Amino acid sequence: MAKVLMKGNEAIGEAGIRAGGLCYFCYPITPQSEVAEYLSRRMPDVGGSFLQAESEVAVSNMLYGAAGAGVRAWTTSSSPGISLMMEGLSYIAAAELPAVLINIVRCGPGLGGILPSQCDYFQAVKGGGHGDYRCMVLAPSSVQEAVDLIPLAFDRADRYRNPVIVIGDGMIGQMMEPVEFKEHKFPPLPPKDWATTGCKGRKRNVVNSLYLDPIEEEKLNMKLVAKYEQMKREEVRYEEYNTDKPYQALLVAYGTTARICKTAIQQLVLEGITVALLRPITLFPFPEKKIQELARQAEWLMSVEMSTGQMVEDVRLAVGHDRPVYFFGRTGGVVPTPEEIRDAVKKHLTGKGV
Amino acid sequence: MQNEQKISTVHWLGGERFLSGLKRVNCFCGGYGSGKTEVAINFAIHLAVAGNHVRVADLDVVNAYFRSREVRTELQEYGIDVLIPGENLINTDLPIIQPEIKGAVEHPDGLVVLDLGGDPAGARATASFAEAIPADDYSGFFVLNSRRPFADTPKQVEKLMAEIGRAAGLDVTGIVVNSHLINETAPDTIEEGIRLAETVSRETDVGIAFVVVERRLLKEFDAVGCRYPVMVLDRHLLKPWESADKLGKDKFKL
Repeated sequence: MAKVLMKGNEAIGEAGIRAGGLCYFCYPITPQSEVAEYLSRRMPDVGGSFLQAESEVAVSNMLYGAAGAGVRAWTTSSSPGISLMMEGLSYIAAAELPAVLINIVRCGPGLGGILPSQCDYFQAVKGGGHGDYRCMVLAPSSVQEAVDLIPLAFDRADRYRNPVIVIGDGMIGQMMEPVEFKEHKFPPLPPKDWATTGCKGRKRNVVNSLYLDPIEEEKLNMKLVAKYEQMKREEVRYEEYNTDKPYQALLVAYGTTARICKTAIQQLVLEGITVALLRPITLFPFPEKKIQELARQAEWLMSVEMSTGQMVEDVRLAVGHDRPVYFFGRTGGVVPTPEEIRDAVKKHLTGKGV
Repeated sequence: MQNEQKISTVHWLGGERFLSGLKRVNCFCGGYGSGKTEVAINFAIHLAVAGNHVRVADLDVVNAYFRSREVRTELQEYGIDVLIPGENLINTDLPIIQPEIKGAVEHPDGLVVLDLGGDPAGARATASFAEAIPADDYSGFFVLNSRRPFADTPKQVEKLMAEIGRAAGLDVTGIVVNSHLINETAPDTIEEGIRLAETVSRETDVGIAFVVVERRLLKEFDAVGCRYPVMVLDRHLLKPWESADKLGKDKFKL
């Protein structure tokens, strides 16, 4: 298929359809409303369901219901909207249901603004809702990568029976880039014999997250932990940049920020300064072992984010006290420029700090 | 196009006749991602460089990203007046149409370039002052990118063109072929756009006004041999990682 020029939000809509996400619930919010707009136009062509709910709380419970009935259910929203879905998300994780949530992050806290940000890292990676659960979190850095990760998100949601979050800043949703929809093949999935599809001729299935017996509740928690441990072993994804040559410092950045870091690194090379980049593609599971390994060759590390410093905590956990881990961030919808990242690197190299 | 110097400075190729028939009010509309804003910005700069007084009005009330207001400083350096919502509202998607815009449209001197939002929803912004636009001194350009979904068949383009014209309360008087894939555009992409526009043109009786070719493609695309005027495009709306040596952080908020 020839490449087309698509806005991230439209491409996300199309990728969801192609991944079999035929049950889509939403409540509009900038900067991702075009996903809903696109799907309201496309869903009738493919016989899918498009439903604009009365609120984001309703959306998360519709996801719970549809996923419980065994269909591929998903939603897209942006930061405040995702916050409203946290209760339902916790129930989905507890009931071991597959669902895909896409968060096109805007700046916050509160109502914030509509410009890009990465300030929802904690919310996505550390739970967000109540209770001991984790979501697998995928962080694309281009429209093409978003399109390629969405089929994976649906597959892994089904495979682990766990919610998967795709997180992109406002730019991933709003920018136009050429994209190509490729065929994605995955091994066959186990049948959804737990789904509430009508119990004629079989024992009834119950989807629930209420456990009044502490031992049973602890068993569930241990079962969930085992899944998260498996994800840590099997699902870690990342991109390395410039790590094949010696480097003085290692940057860690995800999403579009990583692309700005690459431009900064290219500028630094012209000044004879060698810097490498590790871009986590999965934020959970986090590529901690890889960062640990790459850190050994660097004098120090710097996490670059559109936040006041969230992922930097995971980078520090990975590196321990072996190397200094610095932070550079812009917030409020301000996107860092390659020049200011370059300058931050240079300040640390001269030992002056930022 | 062997002449390197010409390639780096030329604005139009075969544009003499088109430019001699230029109207005072020039409105750019089209679907999302057709490249309206980039085309409108280049159109305005070329006119300003040629010695015209130009006013650009950013009427994109639909979307807060990648709008002409982001390059206002650059436009002002060319002596272009940029009409945008007040400074404190610049990053909103509030439906604000400044009274100055209507004033500019009615003003008899200088040229006006109107940059509408995408799709019928964005085009609706002009409806509030459509009656002020002089029918005999106006061009309505429909910017076409054949690599966009919902705009890649003649039927779809005709439908979109009609819907946008209706929403704007304005006639579409010419098609601007701007088929592109940003940094992956090839000469074939442009040829394909011209063929689509020709089919649409036959069906609708709206002519092809000009074809847009990015400057870096002038070496590969035979712009001199093109059967339509060619406007050369320089990219101004860059993504943050592309902005390294071109734009400082003050100029580019996104």
